Amino acid sequence: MKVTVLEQTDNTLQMRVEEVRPGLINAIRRIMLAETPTMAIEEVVILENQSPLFDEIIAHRLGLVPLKTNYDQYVVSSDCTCEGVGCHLCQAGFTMEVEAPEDGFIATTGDLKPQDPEVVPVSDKIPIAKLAKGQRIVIEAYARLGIGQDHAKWQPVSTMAYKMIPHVKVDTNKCDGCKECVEVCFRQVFEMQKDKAVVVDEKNCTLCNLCVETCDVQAIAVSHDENNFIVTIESTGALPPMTIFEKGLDVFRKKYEELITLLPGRVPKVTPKKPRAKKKALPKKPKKKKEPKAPASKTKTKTASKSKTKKKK
Amino acid sequence: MNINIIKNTSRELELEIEGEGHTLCNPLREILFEDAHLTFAGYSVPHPLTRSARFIVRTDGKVKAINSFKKAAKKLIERTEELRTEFKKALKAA
Repeated sequence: MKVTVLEQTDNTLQMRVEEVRPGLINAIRRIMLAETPTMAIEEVVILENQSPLFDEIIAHRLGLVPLKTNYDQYVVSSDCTCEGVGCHLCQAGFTMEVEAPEDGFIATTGDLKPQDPEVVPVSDKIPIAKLAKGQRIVIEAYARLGIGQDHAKWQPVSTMAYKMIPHVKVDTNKCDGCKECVEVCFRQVFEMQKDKAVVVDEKNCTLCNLCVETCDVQAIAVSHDENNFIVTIESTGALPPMTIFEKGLDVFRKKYEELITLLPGRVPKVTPKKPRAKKKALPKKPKKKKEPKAPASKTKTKTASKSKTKKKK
Repeated sequence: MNINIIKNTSRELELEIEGEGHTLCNPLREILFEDAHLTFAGYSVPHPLTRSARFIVRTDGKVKAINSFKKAAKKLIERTEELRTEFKKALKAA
């Protein structure tokens, strides 16, 4: 297995994952979409609603607002000590009280006042309702942890997709420079250089095979790797994509641990953590040793030289 | 997750996994194919709206079917951890 990060921003991550079976990467994709928990507004108490919208519409809109999630403080309410009633351990509250100062005022997520400063809407510009002058909305809302399987509002990713790594080859001896492949390719994989088609952006290819079909002289060959992938994760902003991926792996691992314990007979010892720790420790240890040694020799040159001379003797 | 064992002999294991579907079964089946003693591995999701799957594993008899099933699950956990370490390494390098 080999992973290389291709592109990384606050909300997106693109990486190349090599030597992984497609079933594994697909299961992780399914888990990230449907079974990785995030926070979303689940309960809305409407105290006053003078807007033209029904209470349900406002509640639905609030539910779909992506919230920044904090895993350390909250537990899934069904696992909570309050048994799903809702307490400070499993839910984060919001209040909203707006009165439109003028016609056409738009209440946004910026008007939602969070009780927990760490669980806040991803953006404060998401519109909730347009109000006429003097119309009021007073709301209490509660966010809980949930999974995408139950409702799409709990999905941490807007996109988690992978594709097999494409290989596009042009036989320059066969290519007659008809330029048709450049025109037909909607992903701009080809370019004309010295009257020959040249592959300039292989990674962008979607394996649609249009170029192969249009080439009259059969100069183009498109193939793909079965076990190498380009994985793209696009977060809603609820969590950084790196955290989503790691949390997804956690959820995946827990599934199989549960499966093994549920089966009859002896439970095989699953100790992948130990060899992992050893592997990690081995390259790390010499590094750690080197680091403190270097400053020590600078500051305590005398003691260092003494110990050296002692050893020599 | 809940497991109902329908058949458990030395050559064959048939079980119903309640509350799980393709996410759990497909990678397991794929890993089972790597087992040299395996003669058959497959699963089906009887209905897409009920969360349950039926898994069948058959071996040549030299290894108990249930043991190769457990081994596959263990292998998967190890691979996940491998992917995690590689992922962390890649993040550091980037």
